[in-house]
Amino acid sequence: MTFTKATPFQEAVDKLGSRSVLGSRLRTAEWQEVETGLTDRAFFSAGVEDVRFLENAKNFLDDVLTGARKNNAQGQSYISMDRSKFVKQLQDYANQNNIGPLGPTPLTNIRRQARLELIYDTQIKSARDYGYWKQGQDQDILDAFPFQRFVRVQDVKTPRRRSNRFAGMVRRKDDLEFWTGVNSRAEGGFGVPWGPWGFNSGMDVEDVSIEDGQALAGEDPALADLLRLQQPVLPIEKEFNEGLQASLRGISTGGRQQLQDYFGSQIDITGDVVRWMGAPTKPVVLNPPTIGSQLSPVTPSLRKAPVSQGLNLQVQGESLSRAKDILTVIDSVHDDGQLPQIPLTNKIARGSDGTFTRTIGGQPVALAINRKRSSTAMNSGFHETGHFLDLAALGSAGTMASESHPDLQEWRNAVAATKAIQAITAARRVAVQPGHRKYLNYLLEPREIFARSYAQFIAEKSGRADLLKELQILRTNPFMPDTFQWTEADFVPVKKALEDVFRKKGWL
Amino acid sequence: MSIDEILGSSQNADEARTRLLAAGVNEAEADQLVGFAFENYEGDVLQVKDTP
Repeated sequence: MTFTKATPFQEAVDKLGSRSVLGSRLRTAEWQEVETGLTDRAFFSAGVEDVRFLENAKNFLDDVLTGARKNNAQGQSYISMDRSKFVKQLQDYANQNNIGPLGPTPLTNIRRQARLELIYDTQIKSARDYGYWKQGQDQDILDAFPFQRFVRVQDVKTPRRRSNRFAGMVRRKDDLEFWTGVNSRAEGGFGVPWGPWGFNSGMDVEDVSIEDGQALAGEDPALADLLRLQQPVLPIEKEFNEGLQASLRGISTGGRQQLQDYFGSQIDITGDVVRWMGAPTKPVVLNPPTIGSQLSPVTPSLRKAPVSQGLNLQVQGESLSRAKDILTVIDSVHDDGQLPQIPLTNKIARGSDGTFTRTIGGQPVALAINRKRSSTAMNSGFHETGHFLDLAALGSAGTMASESHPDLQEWRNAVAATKAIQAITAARRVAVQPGHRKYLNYLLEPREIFARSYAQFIAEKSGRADLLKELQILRTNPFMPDTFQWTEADFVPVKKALEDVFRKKGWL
Repeated sequence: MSIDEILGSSQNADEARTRLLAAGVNEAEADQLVGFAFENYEGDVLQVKDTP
């Protein structure tokens, strides 16, 4: 048989494709607690919160694994992605979009070549090693090669003690306890029974035939007990999956919610234990916003109707980067049905940080963000977008759904019961200064409550540290603390009500 | 001192804003309070006439 082009290693491609992209504020220590069950199924990089960055990385790696090709201007076909292009394109994206973390060392700075090469090497090897392992789970192969040996295939500067301890050992392929122990997360491994066996590991496994196993067992009675030659070696993927559970002790409410949001019904969280329940669904892929300037979209989209398509970005410079960031975050959280398209500009009303303009008859006109970036500028962008959705997508187009639409009744009940709204209501009863009274009345208008709750909903669902910090800034008011934005605990019923509304509309 | 008192005893928007920030009120709320009290601010949702 003659192959006319490279054949993708399908198991490896499938492995990468099955991973849900998880932009996470969880740091390495927290991930250590979440452990294998979820981290093996999530495509993430410690500290990187930008979902689009991770999605790009994943798409580039998919191109490598599938051997994706493009044609140049002369019609000549070439391989579209390799390690150097992966590094360069992600560096460019990270620089243009101010992506962190930017730690002091090459491996803690997401824009450094060493960190990006480590991501590339680890992810490609992980996908390929899983593919080899998965192919080896075929019963015919297990019958012929039921054992494997842990071997060094590449010299490294400082071998891990774990590697030295296990090097040369032969065990049954279905000895799950042994192989996950060799790749123990407690000692810098990944907790799975396939490689890689740690970052930059020089270790690998090689098949050992039934005949070679019999010979080894004949020389070593202790090994004979471990190899149990009379018992057939069986596939263990099901057993491995069913055993996946992890402790969530020490994980914050926000962190748990983020896991639940991303993995949905694939996980079950009961008390402090999270269990893996089933195969991953399609990963979240973001739509590029409609851009009225020179910048080009970054990734293709699987969202059916993202909010970003409802806005034509007519801003430049930092405002454009911010607008894209605002819409990227929103797109990562939910769809929106069908929005009419309006411009996003810098034409704000005097005294505001953002403005939503509509006609008296109920037509949306424009959304604007402040040219000068405030300390809570992202929240302001979410807030104004909340007004847009309230008017144009949530209820009957042309009326603010927050005011009386029946779909929002549970939300109205939820916000009315919060400490924040009750505190503002109490303050309004005693306020005497006219401007202060106007402000409190404004805060209690349903559309404003909705926009504030929507902004907090997006920030919390994103899990991004900078967005949560903005909420904290907005809660800071010694006269009325935790009123402009709710505390996380006070907001729980409101968040649930919004989730219910969005789910009902098919947006989540 | 309360927000009522700060707004009621300030001579102008700048003074009120400075005092609110000094008291620890976040910038976004301080701006809106001053806007409503001194600058005819009507909120962040503008209504314009429909185009015939």
